Amino acid sequence: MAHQTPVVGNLALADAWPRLSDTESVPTHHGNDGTIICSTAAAGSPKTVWGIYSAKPKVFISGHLEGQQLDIFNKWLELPATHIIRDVLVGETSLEVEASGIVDAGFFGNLRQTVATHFNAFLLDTNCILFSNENTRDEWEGPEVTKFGSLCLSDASKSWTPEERLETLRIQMRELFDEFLKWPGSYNQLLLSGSLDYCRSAINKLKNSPVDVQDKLISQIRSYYNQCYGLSKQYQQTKSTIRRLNLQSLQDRFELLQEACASVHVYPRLEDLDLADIPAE
Amino acid sequence: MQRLKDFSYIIYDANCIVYHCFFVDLQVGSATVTVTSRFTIHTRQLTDKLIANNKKVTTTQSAFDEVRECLYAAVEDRMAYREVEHQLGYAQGEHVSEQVKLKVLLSVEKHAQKLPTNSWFSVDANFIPDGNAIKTLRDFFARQNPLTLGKSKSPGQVDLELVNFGVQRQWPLVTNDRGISNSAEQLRTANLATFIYYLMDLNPA
Repeated sequence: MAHQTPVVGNLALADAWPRLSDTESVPTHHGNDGTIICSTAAAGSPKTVWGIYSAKPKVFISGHLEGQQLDIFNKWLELPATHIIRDVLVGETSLEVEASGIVDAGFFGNLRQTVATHFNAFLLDTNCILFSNENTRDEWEGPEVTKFGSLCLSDASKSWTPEERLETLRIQMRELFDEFLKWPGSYNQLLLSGSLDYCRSAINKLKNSPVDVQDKLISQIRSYYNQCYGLSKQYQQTKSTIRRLNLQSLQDRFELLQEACASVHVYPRLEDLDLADIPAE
Repeated sequence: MQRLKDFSYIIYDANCIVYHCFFVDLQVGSATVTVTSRFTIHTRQLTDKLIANNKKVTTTQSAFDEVRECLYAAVEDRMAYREVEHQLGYAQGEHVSEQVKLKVLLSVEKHAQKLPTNSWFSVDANFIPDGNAIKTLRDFFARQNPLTLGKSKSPGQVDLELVNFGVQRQWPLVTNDRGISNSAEQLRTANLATFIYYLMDLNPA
């Protein structure tokens, strides 16, 4: 690629591609250059992580995205492809991105691709916008393409303190919790809303924990959050069908999360929970 | 109970299984609060009586699989009662948190999943519903006066299979579904069911 930007990682799915851990997908400060930090995802199971950006003028967001690198994976060709963002359209609630690049399709030769995708954006409060990855469109729509991975935009103007990281996660968790509360009631719906409620309480309790304990649990809670968030996006248009899903793997992960919280005495397992210990919002 | 004395097996629907298992102790500070469904005491007394008389409780695999959804409905219903909210220390206008509901849900489910380990309970995985009979049952309920169903919805596939299960095995069905129990006599006359009893109409004494 002629134009390499300070992208740390992205939806790089080939084994040889560098991957970031969950911890690294947490928005972090990278100098004063407005670095975009993206996480990686496993093939076939795109990881969805919200990006966070301090509210800036639209032109500022566009300016930071244009020219950045996006690495995506074409499932049909089973090939990774690096693209450069050419155009960004910032709407009130969405962020449309168009990128172009070349896919090496083996004996088919090089294929030039133009990818258009859009990200949902929500104004969380007066100084924070959340971006999520959303379906790709046009020729990349459909099962052939893995959705974009996370697009985490770090605020170049300041460092993230542990308190801010917790607060950010707490806000995200609250948003998703509120979302699932509105979904049609079912066993799975309560599993999602109840477990996210548990996570909110654990985050509250984490505030009083040492930084190393926070680091350990935040990555696990964020990872769990990502999985729930992925479900919310996937079933956004067919919410009632979530009751028929087998969410055993999610339930198992929730079990592990409870174990982790209990093992460092941050928050007891649901089974051992004393209702008097549930922190107030 | 007299009505069940001639049978060695009694069929429970998914709700009866949930009511039997809905007995959860919650720690609230120094106090322990036991949360049950409104029908738990009655169902447990009935089950205890059946066990004491060497009867066995059984159900179909599909009904047992339906326990999860019935359980969700039972938890949502019960945890919304002001009496329960008060017992758990929630002030007027406050609602039971989702994590507490999930705690109750998982606890009751755990209990239900362990039921087949008891000698008095079994899930009949070999039962194959009769397709023609299910269709006839469905037509029967479609023709019913909605008043017969009471507050219940028209019986679903799992309920119809339970009715057919009773006919095939010649065992009585205990249900909390008024839609089915109100039609018991008609169903029996039409040879579509054996005995069907409404849970709360059975006296465990």
